[in-house]
Amino acid sequence: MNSLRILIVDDSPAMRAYVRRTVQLASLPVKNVFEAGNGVEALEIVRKENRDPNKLDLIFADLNMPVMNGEEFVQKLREDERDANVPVLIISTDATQKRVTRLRELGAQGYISKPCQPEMIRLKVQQLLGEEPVAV
Amino acid sequence: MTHELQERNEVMAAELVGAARDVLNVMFFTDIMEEGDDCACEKPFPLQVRVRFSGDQVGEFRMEVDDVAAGSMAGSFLGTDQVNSPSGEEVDQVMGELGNMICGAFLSRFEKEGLFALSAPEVVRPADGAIPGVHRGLELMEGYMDLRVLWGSVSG
Repeated sequence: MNSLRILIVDDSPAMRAYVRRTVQLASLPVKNVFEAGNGVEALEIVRKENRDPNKLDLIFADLNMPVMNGEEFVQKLREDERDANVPVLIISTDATQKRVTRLRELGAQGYISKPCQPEMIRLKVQQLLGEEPVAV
Repeated sequence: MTHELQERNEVMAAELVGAARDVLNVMFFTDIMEEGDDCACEKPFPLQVRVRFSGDQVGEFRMEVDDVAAGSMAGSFLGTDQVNSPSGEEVDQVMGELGNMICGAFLSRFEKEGLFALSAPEVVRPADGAIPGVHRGLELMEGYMDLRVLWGSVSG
């Protein structure tokens, strides 16, 4: 696996720190970590950091955020062809079947329900980046 | 209280404790040692987290913790040690996230087919005002926690 450029989108600084640390604990090779507190900030980072020759490899996103939530973010992200293929992995406490189905329809490729262990994050990342079959 | 309502409340209390146990075990490296209608702890608690939910059902979740539990869990979550213990602001942020996670996990267990929106967690110091509804007092490996869910309405 090449060194990754990842974006973590969560309104909770504590949760962003947790995901960052969990990615390290999962021994995933990371080159750059960008952080955003909501969907609007995340789109700004995507427009700046997901352009040739440097593309983002993966986005971790929360659902419940102020200004622009995770669903709206995924929807907006998919409107621009240049960003349509960046894998989005949703990490949220809301694990109801309706929500997971809705996220899949919007274009999120992966879903992890909190609480989550580092091993689960590592497995999902490997799946999304092509090392294993993808399953939301 | 009708028999049906009593049964529903018992299931709700069990799912509330189950949700808390899952979150605490997996992300905070702690566990529930005792549970009951109340805990042998000093009140009022110094910290309270409030999360409201809406969607297929409205309601409110409240979590109260003592300083021992809050400091210990925040340290575990952030991976800090005793020398670099988390700041007060970090403790509040982590407790807000913990409340959000337990509330979300509870809703996913209790209403598997439901669709909910959760408010941003509100951290209140010290704990202020009790709400009616289902309630469990928990003794953790370090410190105490109190959980409440008001189902079908929100506090004024």
